[in-house]
Amino acid sequence: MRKLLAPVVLLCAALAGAATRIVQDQCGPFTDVSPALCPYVLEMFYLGITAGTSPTTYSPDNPVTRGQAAVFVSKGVNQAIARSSRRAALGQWWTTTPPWALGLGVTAVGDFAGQPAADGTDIWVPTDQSIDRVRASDGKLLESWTGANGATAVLVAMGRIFVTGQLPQTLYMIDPAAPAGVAQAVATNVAENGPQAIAFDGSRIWTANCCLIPGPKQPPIPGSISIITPGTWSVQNVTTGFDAPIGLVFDGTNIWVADTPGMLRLDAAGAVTLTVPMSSIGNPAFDGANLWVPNANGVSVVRASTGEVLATMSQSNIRDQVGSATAAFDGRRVLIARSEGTVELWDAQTLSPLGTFQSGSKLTMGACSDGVNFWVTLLDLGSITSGLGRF
Amino acid sequence: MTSLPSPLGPFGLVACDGTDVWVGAADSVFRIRASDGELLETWSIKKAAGALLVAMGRVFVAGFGLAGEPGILSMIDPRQSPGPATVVATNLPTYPFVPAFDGARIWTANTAGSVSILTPFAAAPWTVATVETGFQLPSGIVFDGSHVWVSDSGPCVLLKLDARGSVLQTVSVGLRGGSPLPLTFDGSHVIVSNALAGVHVVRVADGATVALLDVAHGAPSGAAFDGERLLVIGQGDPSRGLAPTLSLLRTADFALLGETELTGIFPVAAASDGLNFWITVEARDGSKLVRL
Repeated sequence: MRKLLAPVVLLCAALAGAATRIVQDQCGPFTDVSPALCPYVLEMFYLGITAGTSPTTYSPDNPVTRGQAAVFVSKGVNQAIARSSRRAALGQWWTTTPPWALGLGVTAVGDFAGQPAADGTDIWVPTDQSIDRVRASDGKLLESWTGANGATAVLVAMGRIFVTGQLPQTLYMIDPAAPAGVAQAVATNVAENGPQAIAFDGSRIWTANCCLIPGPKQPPIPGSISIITPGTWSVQNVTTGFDAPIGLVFDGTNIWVADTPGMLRLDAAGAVTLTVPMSSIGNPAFDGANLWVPNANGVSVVRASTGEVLATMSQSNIRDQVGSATAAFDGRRVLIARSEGTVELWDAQTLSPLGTFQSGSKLTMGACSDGVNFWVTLLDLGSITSGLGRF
Repeated sequence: MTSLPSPLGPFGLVACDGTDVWVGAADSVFRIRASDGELLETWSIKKAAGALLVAMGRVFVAGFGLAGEPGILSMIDPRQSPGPATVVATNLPTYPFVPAFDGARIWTANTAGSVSILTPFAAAPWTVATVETGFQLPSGIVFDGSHVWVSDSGPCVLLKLDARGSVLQTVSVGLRGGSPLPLTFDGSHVIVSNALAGVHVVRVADGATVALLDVAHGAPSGAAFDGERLLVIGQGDPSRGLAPTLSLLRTADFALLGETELTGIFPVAAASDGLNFWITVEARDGSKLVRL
């Protein structure tokens, strides 16, 4: 038996009886619930799955409608999902950023780290001169790939890593099973404008191209999207309907683009079929049902199936500039990383705020999740010029 | 089953970082790859491991020495090559056990009668604030996302603390003290393993005890949560002919899914990486880490 630490060991009789004995003899605020039902009623009540019929009654004998049943089951499933997450099993219940400025939870990477992506084991970070591979379990920088100059965004798909390069307008591909080396250029005629974001619809790669200024006193090149077919690596560039697209997300059916007018839903040919008006949009995230879109008013939650704006919320009076906020989803929570260094957390199911935190960096460029942690790219964080922070 | 190079010591603690499993022993911390159980690395520590914590991309080890000696907190950077763990705090009270992390600070429950709150700094030593008021024999500690909870083996209670370590709420978890009270959090409940009084399930929302689980022959010594199930370790009692046990329960309703008696191995501690349970055991041929 494990050695007891107290100077005197006091023995007492073990409890006898069934494996589980319910001892709840009060039923919280409710006066009309029997002892037999009380534990289950209170569990539902305190988890927020159900409410009482009045402040002091639960009305346990009342019938339940189909609509009410749907709410109860849905909320119950959400609780189950929350508790069954790997983060729960690992005991990571905190919701604040670690002290990144002290170098804890941060990995130094190449200059001007952009929008990262997770492959389930490692985090891939595009930087100005390299693509850096960071092991998720401990944040160790494993390797760096070169050749993708001016890398802006990364896509993990088909067992490969795809990288958008701004200079020249090229799509690169990395085989993560191969030794680190030079990324392979697979498409070299992606739109003249700089690819900013990248997504995959299951068969083709899409890039959102924006904001390249060809020279002094010249206007920026109009935005576009490119659709690239793997294998042949043919590129279809679509300019109609786009101004300055800076974000892309696939909802399982359609590609959505974050652009100046708002969120644009596209058909398979890249034509705009729906516009959800918004201003100063950032990079969106998809949570399986809704799009989370950072914008000038905070963050808007858009039902992907209909384009309906379910809510526009803000945890502070933050007003951000176009293209400088990124959303990421970890399976339960949505993180918004804003460029001035603020990090917001939201509950994706209830749309409730979970808090805001300061990253400590002067500039936050991108975010992703590996399903356990969020990862945020940070610039000018104390002694770290460009880093990847675990959250 | 992975054989460990040296004995576990009295606590044989285990923690998971999502990819590897870390095991604390008398003078070492072992790193084992979860996918195949291969022993990857051995790190040395200055004092016996009383607790392991994975947080902020690091592995923290609370260490204790001889009676009366101050405790220490060491830090392992798993990105580096294995070697001696870095000591970041040297003035912990005697017998620091079971650290917890609240997102910004590390908390330790110190069996000598206090709780310590450590604030990370760029360089060692880290600031340590120790609170003694309200504590007798702290032996377990967890963070529920909002508050730190500490178990106290003296009065046999569970204590809810505020951010400064002051007691906000006291919940009885047994009739008489004296047994260590390891804690586990399942997202809604703090689960208290009381070898003298069974497993107490306390709801964090209001501090109500919602269930008493009579498993492990009524003598549980620890538990682990994998996201859906609770594994309870029972170390048994040879004087009463009680064999060590492993009990598996569903946390949705705490229904018993199964219970087994162990022969030839003695379970010490448990953890989960979300996919498997891991237990440290003492066997006839040495200390081991077992995947369930």
